[in-house]
Amino acid sequence: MKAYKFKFWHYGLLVTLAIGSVVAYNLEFSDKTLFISGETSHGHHQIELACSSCHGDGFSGPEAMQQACVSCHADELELANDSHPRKKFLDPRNAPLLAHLDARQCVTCHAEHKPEITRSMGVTLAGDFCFHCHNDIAEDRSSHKDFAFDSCASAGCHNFHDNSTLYEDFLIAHVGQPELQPNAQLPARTAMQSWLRENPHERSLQLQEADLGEENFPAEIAAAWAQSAHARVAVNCSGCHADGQLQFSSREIVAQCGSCHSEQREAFTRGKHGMRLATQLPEDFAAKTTAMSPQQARLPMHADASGELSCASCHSPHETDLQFAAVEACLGCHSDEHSLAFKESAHFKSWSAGADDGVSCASCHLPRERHGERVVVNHNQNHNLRPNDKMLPVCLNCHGAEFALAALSDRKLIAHNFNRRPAVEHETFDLIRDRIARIANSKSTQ
Amino acid sequence: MRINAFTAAILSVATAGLLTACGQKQGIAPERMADAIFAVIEADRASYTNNVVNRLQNEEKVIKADEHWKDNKALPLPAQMMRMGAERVAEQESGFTYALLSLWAINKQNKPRTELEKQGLEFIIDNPGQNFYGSETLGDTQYFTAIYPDVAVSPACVSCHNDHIDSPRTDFELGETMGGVVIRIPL
Repeated sequence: MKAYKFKFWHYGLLVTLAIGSVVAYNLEFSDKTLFISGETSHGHHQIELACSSCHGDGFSGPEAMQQACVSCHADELELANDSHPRKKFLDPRNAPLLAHLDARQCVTCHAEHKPEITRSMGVTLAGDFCFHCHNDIAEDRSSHKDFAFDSCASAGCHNFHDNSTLYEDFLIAHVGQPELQPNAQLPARTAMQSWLRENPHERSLQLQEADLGEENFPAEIAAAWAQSAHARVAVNCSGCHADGQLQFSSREIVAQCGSCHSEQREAFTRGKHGMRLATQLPEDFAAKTTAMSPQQARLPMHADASGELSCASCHSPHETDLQFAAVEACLGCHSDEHSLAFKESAHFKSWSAGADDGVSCASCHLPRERHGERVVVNHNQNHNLRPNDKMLPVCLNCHGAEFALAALSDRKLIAHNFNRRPAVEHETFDLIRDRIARIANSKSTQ
Repeated sequence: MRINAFTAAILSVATAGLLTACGQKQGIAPERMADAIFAVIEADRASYTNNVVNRLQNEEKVIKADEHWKDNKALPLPAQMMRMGAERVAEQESGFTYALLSLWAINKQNKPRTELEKQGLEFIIDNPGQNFYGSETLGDTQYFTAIYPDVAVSPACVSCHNDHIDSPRTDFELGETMGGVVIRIPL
């Protein structure tokens, strides 16, 4: 029998088919990792395999990409009273400016998969981007004539999107405050008080009322539950363990908790801890992907930190110990310089002593926000770090604005977790004092 | 037979032409459309300035109007109110855009930027009561551009602009043209 003689193109065909099969399998049935064109930014790497959440069907145009950005980030921009919203650039008189910098599209400044040019806040433009439209600023503000354009948005003075605590009138109203305010403390949470007010006749559930059946759970779990806020607000075992389900995946935990704590779930799934569990991600991604784990993070984590991130990572479901959630839950995973230095800080010492002005990790990173009469804990721990001077409202509960803004602009001080006073005062307040003098002078001459 | 076929062909072409003509909308001249849009903008703007801001802030002193109206629980300034509408219209791609500009804008982003804007704003200042019409090309689109005088209709307009630290002009008087409303319709 004559052996078949392979020609060169036969080998070529076989190799092409083999490569094609691997690539096709990766795209259709596996995790699509072969199609990542470059390392994603720190804000998106958690969901980088949810390709269609940004790219649609792969053939979507720029408008669909823009919609994808907006579908996740619109609420945050609205809340920040975005200084440069898309709608501001739709007037045709902006056409010459847009030819330089198309500020209507998020990707103009935030291109993904470009690690070599990605800077803080996922910005992929050169740091002096303000120049494109504000190059004549010194004509209106002579005080700015010596400032470099790459310092506008990097020195704690201005942000492109969120200037809600950096605008002139706000700073004027907060100038000259003492470093430490009298009555320094965070606002008290209001959820439990509101519930008790609205349900005056509802009594706490007792240990013997646990409805799951004693044979189904250890006694210490029932005892912890009986002392918890859940028992106080009449949430029995079956409130979470419907149909007797005892084991939950991270996704199920977040969904279960979120059925009552919807604001918290919404915020949690907007931050890096929980964004893989966001409901707007594609179904096939949700089916193939688990929640984030500490070892998948880009920040330094303890080698033994493990498990998937869900509500239960910080809040033991039966004890609901908020003290644990406020510090030890964080330090159990995070091992960066800032986290490791926390227990040496005045903030922590005061907190661990039970003082009113004590500061835990959660005090700053899970801030208590006023929504009308309510004080709600924002469970998106990244919200006030984008960029970090968005944390100013938290600091102002205890500190004056000049002290706080100087601290938030001092990178070394942040790394050492505020173990000393800020090294220098923030120059923005010198400009504010000049401005106040000019306004007073102008009024006296009228 | 040949004549009949020819006549039928002529008739069918003529009928098709007539039907097409009837089906076409006649449309409104850009100038007329811009005038009508301005009438609405001006009416809303004057009503808000007089009956809301001037009454509540200057006369009854119930609530202030402030640039940071959300934070300070105040009324939006009349100029902000108008720009909110302009941005909403632009987002809806309604077939036209409008803007409030001035040679003496407090926010320098609202100074004239195109040649036609400069020309038009100077024209309406020099010719009180008259409008300015022209056309210009911005990007790759040609626009019919109309500029209408924006007149100080209430004491609130005058006092706020004359007292503001960043105002380049501090001697406005009631009834004076302070700026212009620019309406653009793509052609």
